[in-house]
Amino acid sequence: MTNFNLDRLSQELVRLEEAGTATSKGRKLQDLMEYLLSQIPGLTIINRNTLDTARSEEKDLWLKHDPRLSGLPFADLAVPVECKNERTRASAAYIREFATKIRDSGGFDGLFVAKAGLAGSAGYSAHSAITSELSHGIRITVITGEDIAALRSAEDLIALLQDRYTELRLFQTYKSI
Amino acid sequence: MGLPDRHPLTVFLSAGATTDTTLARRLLSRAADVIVSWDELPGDSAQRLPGIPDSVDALIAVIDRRSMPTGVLLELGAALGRGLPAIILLANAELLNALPPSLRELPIVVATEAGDAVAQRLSDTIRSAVDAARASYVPEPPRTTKTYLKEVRERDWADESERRVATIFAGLGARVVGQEPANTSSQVDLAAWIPGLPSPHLNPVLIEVTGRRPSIRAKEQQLLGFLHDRGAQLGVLVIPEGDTLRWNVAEGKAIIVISIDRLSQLTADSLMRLLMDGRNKLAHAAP
Repeated sequence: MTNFNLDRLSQELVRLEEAGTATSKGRKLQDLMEYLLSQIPGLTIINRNTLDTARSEEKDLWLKHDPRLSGLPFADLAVPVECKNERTRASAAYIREFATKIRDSGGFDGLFVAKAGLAGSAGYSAHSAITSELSHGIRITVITGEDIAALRSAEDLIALLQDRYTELRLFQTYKSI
Repeated sequence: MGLPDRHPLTVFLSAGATTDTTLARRLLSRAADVIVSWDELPGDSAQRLPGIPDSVDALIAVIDRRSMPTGVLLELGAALGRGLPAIILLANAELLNALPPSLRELPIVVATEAGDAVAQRLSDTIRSAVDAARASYVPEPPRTTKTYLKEVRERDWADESERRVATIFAGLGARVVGQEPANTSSQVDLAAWIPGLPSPHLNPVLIEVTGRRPSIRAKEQQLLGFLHDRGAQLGVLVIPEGDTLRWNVAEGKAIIVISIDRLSQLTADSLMRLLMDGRNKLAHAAP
């Protein structure tokens, strides 16, 4: 299994803290996730360029995978990846917006990367939104900046995603975030 | 490495005789170069039902009702038997729960009003499934990570049996998550991600560990309820004594009742065979 380039990982984690617009900061986290995910076997990154409300170019990150090879817990073969590189924890509104994106595109799985974690705790705020969406069949697997900093290899990332997905299905929320 | 994006794709559209395939065809027109439908086959195809042409790369089954037409099931079986990827295109998300368990293991896309987004997903899904079908694949045995075993041992457990069961599953390569707080009687004890199961749909496996002298039937019913609540398919009920190993397949769920001693004798391979046995029983028990 592939070990991550730890120098690159630590540099990109530092870059996440640099000032910028929400779009440019989000893009840095997207770039980091693209590097980490692309090390997983059986996985292909899809970048779709779109325009945000200010009509500046925004990257829409998706992954395409063969679950037998990737070991990822997503039944969908194409999965959107949402990256929030903000100082504050991700809100319920962000979760609902992401769930709409998954649902409207005809899928069930999504990967949500929240650098500062999720707002609230089990049963409240963003956690409550995760539970609510799960009850409607939308499975949002969440990882945080703290999780990313602890990763050393693609095997670690796969195990983390399996653990988070299993936690979501067991608790119908997250207790480790 | 996958297929080049411009590799021409031919898909077979399978649907009920009264199913409106207008939307499916519109979505597929952006994902495939040639669409062949069951009602466009030459007359002699009846001689070799279900006559899916050799040139087809994938089958798309349009499901718009709770009971599936026999012809669609036949064509799905024929496609899978030939190693062709099969993808379910649901008319709405509510139909998901009506799908037989074995079909839920297939890639599923819901045809929503957001046509562009669905067409893009359908295209990506077909390409990914075709790539996967063409790639040689040898299943790997589950891997165990030392760090994870350490994490399992350091957690607070309801009792020694629960700790032992979690450690056995972790030793077999599973990723185990324990209920918090431990020993919450109204919640299932453990959930395990078992690497190597053929579809993410079969994971996680829910695990309930009984105390001494349990009412096993009552525990099976309770675990059945947990499986329904969490949309899981496979459950393991671990009992403390004896040499028990039997399956209970009911209500679209499969539960294995196994003694802790029998569980401790399993290898990663025999655990996988056991769970696949349950999955196959589930597929054949479904109406």
